Amino acid sequence: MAAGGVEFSEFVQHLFLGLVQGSFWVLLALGLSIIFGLMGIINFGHGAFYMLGAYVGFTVSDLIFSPFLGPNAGFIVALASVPIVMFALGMVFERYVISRIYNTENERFSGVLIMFGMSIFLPDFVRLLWGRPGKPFNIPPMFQFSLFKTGTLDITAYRSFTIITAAILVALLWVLIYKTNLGMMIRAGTNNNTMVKVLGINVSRIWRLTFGLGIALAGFSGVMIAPLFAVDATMGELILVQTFIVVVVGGMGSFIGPVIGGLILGQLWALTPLVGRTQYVVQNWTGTVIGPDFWEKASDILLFIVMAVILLLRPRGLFGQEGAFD
Amino acid sequence: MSRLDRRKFLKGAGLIGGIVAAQAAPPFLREGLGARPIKWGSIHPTTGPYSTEAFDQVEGVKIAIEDVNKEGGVDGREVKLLFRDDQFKWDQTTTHALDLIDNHRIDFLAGSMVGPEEVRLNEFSRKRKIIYANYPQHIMSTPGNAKKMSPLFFTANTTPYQLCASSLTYIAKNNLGKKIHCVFDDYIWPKMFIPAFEKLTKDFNLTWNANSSVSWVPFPTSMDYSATFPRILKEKPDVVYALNWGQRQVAFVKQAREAGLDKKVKIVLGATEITMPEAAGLGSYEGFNAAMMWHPSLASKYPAAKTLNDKFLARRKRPCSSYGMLAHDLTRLILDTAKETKLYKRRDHFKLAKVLEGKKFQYSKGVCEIRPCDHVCISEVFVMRGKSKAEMKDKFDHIEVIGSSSGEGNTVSCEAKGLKEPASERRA
Amino acid sequence: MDAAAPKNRFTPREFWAWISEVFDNYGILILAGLLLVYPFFFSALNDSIIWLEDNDWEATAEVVAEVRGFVPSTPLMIQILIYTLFGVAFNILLGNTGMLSLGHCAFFGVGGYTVGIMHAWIKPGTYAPDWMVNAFKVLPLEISLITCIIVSTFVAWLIGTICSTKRGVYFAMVTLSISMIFYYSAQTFDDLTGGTDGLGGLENMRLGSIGLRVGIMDANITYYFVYILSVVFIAAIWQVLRSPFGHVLRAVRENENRARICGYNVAKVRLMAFTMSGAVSGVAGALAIIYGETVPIENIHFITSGQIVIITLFGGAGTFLGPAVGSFIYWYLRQLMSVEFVKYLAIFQYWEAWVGGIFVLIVLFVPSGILGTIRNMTLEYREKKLLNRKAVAEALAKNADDETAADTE
Repeated sequence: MAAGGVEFSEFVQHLFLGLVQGSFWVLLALGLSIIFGLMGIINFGHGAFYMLGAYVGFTVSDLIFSPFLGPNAGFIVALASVPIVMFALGMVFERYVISRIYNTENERFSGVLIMFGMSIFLPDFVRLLWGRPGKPFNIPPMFQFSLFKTGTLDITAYRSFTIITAAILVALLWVLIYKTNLGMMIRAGTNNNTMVKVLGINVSRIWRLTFGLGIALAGFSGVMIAPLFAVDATMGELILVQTFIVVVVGGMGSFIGPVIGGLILGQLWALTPLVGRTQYVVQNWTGTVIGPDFWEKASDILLFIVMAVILLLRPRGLFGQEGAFD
Repeated sequence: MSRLDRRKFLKGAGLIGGIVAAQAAPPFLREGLGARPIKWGSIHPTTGPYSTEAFDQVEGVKIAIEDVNKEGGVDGREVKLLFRDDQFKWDQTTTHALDLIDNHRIDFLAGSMVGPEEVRLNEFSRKRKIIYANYPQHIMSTPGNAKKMSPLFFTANTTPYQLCASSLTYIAKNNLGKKIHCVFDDYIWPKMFIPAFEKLTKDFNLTWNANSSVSWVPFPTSMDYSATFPRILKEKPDVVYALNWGQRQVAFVKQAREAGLDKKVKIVLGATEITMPEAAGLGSYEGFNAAMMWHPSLASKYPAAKTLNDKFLARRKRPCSSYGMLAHDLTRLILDTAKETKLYKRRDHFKLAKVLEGKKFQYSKGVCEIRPCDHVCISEVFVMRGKSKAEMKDKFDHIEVIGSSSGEGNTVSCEAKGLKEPASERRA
Repeated sequence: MDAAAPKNRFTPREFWAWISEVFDNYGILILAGLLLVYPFFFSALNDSIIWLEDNDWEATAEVVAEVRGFVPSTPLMIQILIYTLFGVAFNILLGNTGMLSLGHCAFFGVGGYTVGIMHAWIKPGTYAPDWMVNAFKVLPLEISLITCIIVSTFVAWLIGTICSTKRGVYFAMVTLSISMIFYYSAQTFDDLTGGTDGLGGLENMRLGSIGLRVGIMDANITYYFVYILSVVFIAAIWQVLRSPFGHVLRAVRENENRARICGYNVAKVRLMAFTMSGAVSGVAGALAIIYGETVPIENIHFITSGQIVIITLFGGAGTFLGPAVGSFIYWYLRQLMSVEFVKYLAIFQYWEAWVGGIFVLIVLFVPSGILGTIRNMTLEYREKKLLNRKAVAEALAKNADDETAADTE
């Protein structure tokens, strides 16, 4: 089956790659969005904590557990323990650092700036603890096979695993936020903090949990992405801007916004290179044929263009809460 | 007023006395080595993403200078290293370079790790007329930059053309295949390989086309190379030639293995460094070929390489990278030449450059030669093979040298660049 | 006056209040004066070392050179001046209008690229058309600087029309994202901009009117060139911020709605502040290029925006000269850690962690920056003193009134 010169299997492969990329963006953007929604802090240190998650995962799996339990079990232990470690770290960080700026003047700016300082602090701190060269962290043997053979690029097990894990995690988060008491409090706090306080609920505890949750999501994405990408002290800088774009496009202050935004942009990112391989010939104004290389290069810049268009036409994002930024 | 004067006088006298005493105290500085030391001002970004390699460079320079001093210095003078960290911030490169040249009165300018730094220091060399020992990059070698290159610019590094030529020679000689597909990061360094590909693929009779055989990967944010894999596999090339560096190369290698690309086609990496297999994991480069400027395993072939690598292992607890070796060799070359000719003063730099042009030298690898017209270092470029996990002896032993190519045929000739006279005679 | 007054004169509190007051009123003049003579001071120190070295006083020279390591060199001061100008321009927004822009690298970079591209390409045998090349024998710096101001003003106005209606952190994110578009453009059109390697081969950094060669040839001349331009622009900003327009800016910062109700067009005020800030940032970017004579792509990267935020907050966003203090401390601290401290303690090679950590601590414990904190500490006291003065004045006036009343009686 072929449409416009592109085979169906090729289309499926790109769809699959977009889903993987999109699901990482969803996880990262959700962490950013949850923290922002409740506390009004844009977490510029999100990328740094994501990087820290990967390093913690490397330590837990390769340095502590793999020598005894083997790489598979080590990886699973890392996957399970990194969110817990990062959650605790986030709570401690909130308790001793962030909570000091509450009720000061310029509360929101100070929060942004603290996280910004962390994004400078953490990479070199990680180099201090783990050394300067990058760290090896690979796909465990149990995921090194293909689920479906498509003739060209296979649907591999690890990428499928990441999609499924991300989906489960998003579902769990949804349950947490929309079906539990804690979630109710988080949602209430997002809407009107003062009112929640008046009702006699311990707001600071909820804030602490939420911040921990956001950091845990960042760390978890880090450890999930590490076997596919490189574990390096600078890995967080690059992902941060993309996460921002996802959040701006999807809209802040809503649960569905980052999810849909991440998935749409993931597909956009993955399917753009495919345009160059259709049979349709695209020409520019001078009559030169735009080749496939143009569309491969364009996939990254297109994210920015989409963001600019969204900003101009619908500033609060696709599913953003109105007035979330005022 | 009179009282104060007396006190001040006493204090001043004490200070001057102290200074005189300090002057007399360390006699070792006045013995043996002659008067004013020769200052080697070196600027490296020992901060930021390339700090591992930058520290290797610093160590290489230190070893070279210590050796020169042990052999009696240059013209009886001690060589002193003034090392500065430019913090991966290019305003700081200028600040340090100005400070070193004007205030510390260095005799040689050295350093750089990445493009912008090289461009900045090259301007210093061109306008302030000081020899600049460029360690790792060589973007000045491209024909477009020939006029911008300082006549006092020297490097021991290979050009993109040399790297490309060695890989393609290897591919053609070993019949790895006819059809080549490239995966290039979308920035200026890989773009320098395009002219090389256009010429060499014709020479070696390989199937390659600038429009249809190159996949460009967005740089720097997108690290997912897998989006290019479906196209590569559909094109069914025999060889995939990838150009990327640092953590991006690690990501590429991991993703290629995960997708099974390395099983279906032969993958050749345009350039690599020992830190990358280390970050990718044990046995991760198995089945990959790569071009490299140098590798510590060459210690078995060249005795000088062995001494250098041993010193590195003792000091840094890790083998010497090609960055360390390039820094070491170039420092040795310039200092040794200065020693032979006694041309080390700033005013003699053009004369020293004249001597260095066309000079053949051999330190940690085979005989190299600096070509007069554009100061390209004609030297060996090695082709490597990634070892499997079972073959590795320790955690740094990722790579085995399987071949090398050298000679002027690996470069763009002076005629093709339109350069006739030696660079030192070409004043801007 | 009574005898109690001299006793209190030198309490530390009064001392700081005095310092702070003097700094508020005459700080710009004091700093300008100090900076005017700085190169003389440094070259005196340096020449003494050279003299000692040349006269075989090696050991003494070593000792003095150790001391010199802790004194910021003239090139470092040039860099500090450039970032002071950038910071003061940035502070029009952050300190005075209350807008946190994370996209100022766009103006800094665009200003730099304008000058860089003009000097790299307006010469024979390049992209530039003949009439442009033939217009000048050598392209004078004045022309490129004026072009740079025009271009960066236009770019700032363009971005401002999109962004300046946004508020708070959203404004920060939008400016950040838009500035990244400029970064990508600079990287994509690498034939023109040199891409990630930066643009080299800049010629003729010469002031046409007086034929002076600035740039990397002579640090002192470049210092005075940067100094004069910075002082002129900083003085202009100082004047603008003291004018009624500056008060409107602060009114917008304090309470936008009230400013609107008072009849000010808030959107226009914000746009004007943004454009002004962007234009001067462009000049700072151009100075950075003239200083280094190459254009690195890093100037247009988000990192540069981050740096200027840190610099401004180090010094104090609420104060006019905060960025000057911040710029000095930021660059001097980096230099000290990476060059001097690291000689004694290897842990200082991770200076980014130190600077980042100090930054977090400053935001936590000294949120109004160094100058701002000094001012806040003494504000109460100064207010009291001001009140006293007022009371005295009132008493005097009343006295006078009484006297006149007595006279008329």
